[in-house]
Amino acid sequence: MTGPQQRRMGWILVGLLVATALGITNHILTASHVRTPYYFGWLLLVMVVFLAAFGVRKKLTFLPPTLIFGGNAANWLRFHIFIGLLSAVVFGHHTGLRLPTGFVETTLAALFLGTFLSGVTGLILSRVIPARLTSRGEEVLFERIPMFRSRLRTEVEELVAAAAEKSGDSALVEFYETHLKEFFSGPKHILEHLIANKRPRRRLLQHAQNCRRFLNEPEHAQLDRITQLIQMKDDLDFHLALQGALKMWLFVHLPLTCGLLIVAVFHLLLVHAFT
Amino acid sequence: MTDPLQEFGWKKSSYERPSDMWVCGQACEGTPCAFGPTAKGQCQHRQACVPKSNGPEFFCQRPLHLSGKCSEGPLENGACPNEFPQCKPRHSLLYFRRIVVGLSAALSLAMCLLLWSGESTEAISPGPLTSHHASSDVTCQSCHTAATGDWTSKVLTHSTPLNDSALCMKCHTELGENPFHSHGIAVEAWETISSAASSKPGSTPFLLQVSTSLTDHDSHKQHACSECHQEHHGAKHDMVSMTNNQCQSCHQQQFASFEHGHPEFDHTPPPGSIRFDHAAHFKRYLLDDAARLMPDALAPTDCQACHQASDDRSKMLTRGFEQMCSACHERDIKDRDFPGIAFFQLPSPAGDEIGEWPTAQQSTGTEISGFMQLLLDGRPADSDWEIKELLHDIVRRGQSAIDEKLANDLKGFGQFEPSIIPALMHAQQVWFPNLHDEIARHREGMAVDNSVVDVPKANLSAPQEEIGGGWYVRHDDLSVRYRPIGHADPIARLWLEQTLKLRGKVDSVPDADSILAVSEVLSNPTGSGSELTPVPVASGRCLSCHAVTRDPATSELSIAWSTTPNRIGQNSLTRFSHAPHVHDTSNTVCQTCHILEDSVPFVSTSSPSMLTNILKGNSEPSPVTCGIHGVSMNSCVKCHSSESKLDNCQQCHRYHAR
Amino acid sequence: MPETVSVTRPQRWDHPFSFDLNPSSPVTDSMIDEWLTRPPFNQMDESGFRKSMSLRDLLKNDARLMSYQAGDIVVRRGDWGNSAFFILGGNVRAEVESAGSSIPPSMLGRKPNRKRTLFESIAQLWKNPSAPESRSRFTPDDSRIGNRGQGGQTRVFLQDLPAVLSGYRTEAIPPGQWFGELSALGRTPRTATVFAEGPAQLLEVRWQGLRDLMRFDQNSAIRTDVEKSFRDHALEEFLRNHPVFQGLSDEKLKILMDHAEFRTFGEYDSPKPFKDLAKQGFENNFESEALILEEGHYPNDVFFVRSGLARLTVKHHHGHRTVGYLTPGHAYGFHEIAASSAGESVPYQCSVRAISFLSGLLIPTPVVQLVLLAPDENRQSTSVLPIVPAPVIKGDAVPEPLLEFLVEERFVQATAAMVIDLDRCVRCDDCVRACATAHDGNPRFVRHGPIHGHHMLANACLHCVDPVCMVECPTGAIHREFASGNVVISESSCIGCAQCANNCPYDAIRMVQITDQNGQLVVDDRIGRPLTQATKCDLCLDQLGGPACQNACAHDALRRVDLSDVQQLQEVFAR
Repeated sequence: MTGPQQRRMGWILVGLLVATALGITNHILTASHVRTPYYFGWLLLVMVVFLAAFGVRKKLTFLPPTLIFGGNAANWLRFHIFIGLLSAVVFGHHTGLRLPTGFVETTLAALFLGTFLSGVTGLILSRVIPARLTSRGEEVLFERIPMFRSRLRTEVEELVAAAAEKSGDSALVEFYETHLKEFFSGPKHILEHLIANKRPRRRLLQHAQNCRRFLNEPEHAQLDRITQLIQMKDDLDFHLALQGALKMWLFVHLPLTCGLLIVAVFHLLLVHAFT
Repeated sequence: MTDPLQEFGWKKSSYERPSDMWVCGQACEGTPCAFGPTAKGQCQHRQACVPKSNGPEFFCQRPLHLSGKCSEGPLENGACPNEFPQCKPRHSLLYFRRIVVGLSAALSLAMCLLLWSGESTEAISPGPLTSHHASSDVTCQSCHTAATGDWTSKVLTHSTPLNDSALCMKCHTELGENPFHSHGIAVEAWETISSAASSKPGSTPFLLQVSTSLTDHDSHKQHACSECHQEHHGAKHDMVSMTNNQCQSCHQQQFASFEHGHPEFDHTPPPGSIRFDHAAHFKRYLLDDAARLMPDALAPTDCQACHQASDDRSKMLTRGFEQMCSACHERDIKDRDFPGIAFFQLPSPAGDEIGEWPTAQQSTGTEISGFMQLLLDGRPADSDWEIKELLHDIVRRGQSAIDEKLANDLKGFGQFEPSIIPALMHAQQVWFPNLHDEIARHREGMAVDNSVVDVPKANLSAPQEEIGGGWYVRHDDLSVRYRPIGHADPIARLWLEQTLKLRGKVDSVPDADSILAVSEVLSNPTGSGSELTPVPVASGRCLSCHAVTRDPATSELSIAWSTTPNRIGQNSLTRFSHAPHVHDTSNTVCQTCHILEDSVPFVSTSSPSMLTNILKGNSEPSPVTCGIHGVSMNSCVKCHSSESKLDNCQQCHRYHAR
Repeated sequence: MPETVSVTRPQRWDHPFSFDLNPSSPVTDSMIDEWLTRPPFNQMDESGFRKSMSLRDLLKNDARLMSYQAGDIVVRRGDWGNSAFFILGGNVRAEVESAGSSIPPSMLGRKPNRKRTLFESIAQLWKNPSAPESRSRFTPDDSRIGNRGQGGQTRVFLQDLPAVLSGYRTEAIPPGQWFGELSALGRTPRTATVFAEGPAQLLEVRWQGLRDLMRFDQNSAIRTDVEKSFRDHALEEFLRNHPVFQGLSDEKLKILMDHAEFRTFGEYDSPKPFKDLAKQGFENNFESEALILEEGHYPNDVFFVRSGLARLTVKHHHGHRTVGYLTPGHAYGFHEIAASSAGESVPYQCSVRAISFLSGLLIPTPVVQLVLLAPDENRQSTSVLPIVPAPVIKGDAVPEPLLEFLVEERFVQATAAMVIDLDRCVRCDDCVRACATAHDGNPRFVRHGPIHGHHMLANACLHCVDPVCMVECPTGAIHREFASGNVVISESSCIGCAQCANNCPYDAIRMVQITDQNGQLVVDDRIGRPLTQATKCDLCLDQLGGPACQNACAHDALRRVDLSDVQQLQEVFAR
């Protein structure tokens, strides 16, 4: 029985082996006067096409996992990550670690590096964020966050209005107007949530605590509920930020992949015409 | 405990449809409807409750998951009082992602199409050229055949790189006639080169072995420039560097690195080296014996006295004889005690009717000297008249007579410069004053009176009469002789060079012995020096310093008349420059690489019969030594090691042969 | 603070049985009068019945009159029901099981189960309708059957009755007979298909009603019969099907049948007891669980679960710790008895407690030793121990609170629970999309649900061992697929009554508005109301690749777990 740790070590080991083998191959073939950049270019194209095929494969979920192009998605992702990381090595061999100088080549290299780096970012995000999401707030569906937020806002507004009507005092209303209205109006503190900064939440709760001194007994109960709602809204923002991050990196990765494929084919045509 | 935001019951939470392109416009407001938009993005909530009529009454039909029957019930006209406001569905996240992907695809495609169809091929250039190639009149067409006309058609035909390489040759004419063959060397030459090279299996590193096995070893193959020279990597890109393995993978003899396994340098000097025993000179003559041997000159104290860097400091040139050797050796060559070589000598008369004939104070015998033998076509003179006819003819007709007399393949021997003719003319006037008349009478068959010609008295006191240019006439033994006039003596040089041309013909030329006799004298002087004298004091010892060498390729023999500086530079695939190696020119720097041999007593390597033996195939030219050990790799690898990264093949070797 | 709403506590008979069918035709007093004149009701002694629950009341609220026409299917083999039928009049026939010639599922109104071909699978990419919940067919899958009636009175009927009668072995059940009581009392699937040969009048009695009729009737007018028939049939079927008893000689089976004791434990009042109990809190609940075997006692019996769930507990300080659970088919006590045979007596290592209602089988130790633990040349294995699943979770493989959670929330019922490891899940919804692709563009679960630690048990069908959703389906649209045992809903026979969705304790069934192929909502032409249908996960029954959600999960976060498989459980939850 092998645990995930051993499996990961296995992948890393195989990756290092393959990278070394690629290096040696490059060394040998270069010495044999083979146009290694050309063949590494083809290899890179095949790898990029395979990597892009992951997107297609994701749509074929109904195929039996035993089929080669069915596979189960988890295995595909493992290969996707493995080949993706390896593609950087092949890219290095292909370019000879030189910065490209032509327009097409610079564009292509930028697209590749963009795709690669966004992929690595995605990999890191998908390894880091899920556990953070689980650790805080209620698990909600991303699409429903606006709905819940609006529900919270309605509740807090009603609470404040009812309290004001009952006690005839505007302390809660003032508190709401100064500190909460803006907070409940939409997504807030997205950046702070991404970097796990809890200061805005603490500040709001301190304001709420501070407000307590000006309230009478029945209003305390309302303030308690408002405090709860503040925390729930903050947790929603937290989920919005983190789940959003998990979705947004694909907004970079996928378009770049698409551009990369097209420009790579163009590059291939140029190479075939001119060498 | 607060109630969770999300309730799971089917009435509170319907399916989320993340693969749809539209989402309910009310979702943000917290009140999404259970229907969701249609696939085309229309709100379909209107159909939620269509009250049904049952006679005059209407019944509410609101389904359970939309909170069931409403308390109000339908209005009288059958309309629903809780008409849900229609929403304007919004695009889903997936839709925006597809839009971004589509945009990116469209942009990339547009860029590629623009570049493809664009007039200017410059736009698809993969980068600026090196500073060597970059110029305002260099365009794509200058180097790429594909760039002429419509390049797109070339995409599928895949132009051959050699076509492009032909364009390179418009400028790179220095690469010779076979620029695309390996090393620029003709295919035919490869046969000999390959068979001469030895391969040492086992000493090759494993990876190199693999590379070698993958390398195309076809010597007939033509290589495009682009195989090695990659352009478009910017102005400063190094287009020529190669790795050691790239060099080695083609070669038969392989090794791990310059330090380990590179063949030792070939010590045999190339044709044209001077024998000079540096060890003997530096350790002995120039130190202990300098004052005695060179009373008028200063002994050199450093290498620069004789060797001087060329202008670009790449080569160390050797100064001439005059500066270096003459102080000691000039007087040996101009040895006045040397009797000279007799090129014409009257024998004692053999017959009776001989007309005039001078008397010799010394017995001359009946032998005919070397050069006369050639003139007489190898025969012993039939009569004394024949010798007189010969002299008469030469005197009357000059050089053309000599040329006529000499056999075809020996004519070179008569091209004396300065000429022998003035000396012969003078001899005739003294020895045979009436030669013309006598010859005329003799030819008409008339008797000629015998008379003895007395050599002038004055001349007796001075038995030799100098004519000039090294020629002189001796009356005591009735000979016309030549004595070398100094270094680079023209007659000696002429004779030795002509002698070498007899290579392989010694046995067929009748007069070979006569020729060799003269050559032996020139390489074995009989002057004041002797074989026992441990210094080259005799003139005519050309071959003591100027070695006879044999070209290994053609087996032609030649004499090294001049010094050959920096012999490495002479090799077409190798280069060496002293410049980076010599920081100062002290002896210690020179002797880092050029190490003196232990001094040995100078023993001439040239014996009188050396040339004869070589020509007759009895011996080979002895190797030229100069008292300095050949440059050993040991002195190179001190710096040119893998550590210093200075052990690249291209440090010393060039690919394109010169 | 929200205002307290005061409501009347729900009563048992707030909702009479007949109401489910048609509120406008309740059981009337005249009907009851008529019934009470005929056996067995006229043989009953009403004195045993409580005042508040008289015989008349029972019949009024727990029974209903069902009229069938020729060909109407009453019950189908494999359906789950909670009622028994008494034939008042007419011709009713039951199919007699005979090898190879049973009535095909398609003829019983069930969608024939066929896997898609590879091309059909791929074609889903472009063939799936763009409109949500689009249905193309409203006709039955098989022309040999039809639908009639509406709402709860919908009947599936056989079009060609003579063909069925001549083609398959059937047996007439004479009026005055009971049938269906096995399923009703034991909560097991119907074992035979019963249909009306001609017009027939049946009295359908809820199982609670049947139980009370048996319990309070001092004359035991139906009890003896029903109990005996129940005991014989159910016991034999159980013994013949359970792997532990495979290969036993008839002799030994006879001994077993003579000594085995059927027992039920716990309360079974509601088809969804758990949903209600959960709201009361679990602390009270634990005490109410019936103790079946007690830890530390001499092992008198081996206990087999027939239906329902049992919890295994051990004493821990002043409380009890859950160490495992038993689902139908599981047994407890074997290991103790096997260890005891050596001479020394080993007491029960755990207590076994029934969670709500449970029906099980007790086999006395001597019988076990004689029949099961003794060598038998007919049986391949000398020991039955390896065959008996060991339901105790060992060590720390599953954290105790998690196990407690799974048992309390009854997730241990699941044969295919969707467990999402939230520490791996990147919330990409690939599973939902995959699900939609595999189901004509419509998702069949929502990626939310109860969470424990970092495991979410998403609201997707668990495919329970004991699926309460099937109990009240009027048309049998929700049924167990024979080959795989998956619980599926037949689109062609679902009438949208939402019974199953309400019954499912796990919120795994959702009602949807269906549309036609143009995306227009389909409205019932008879009542003018948009048509709804129940939908849920079918484990991608017709897909080549099995559950698409699990295949689609790129992060190995989502797994479909059979919780009765301890091995799988440990594998999934130990991560």
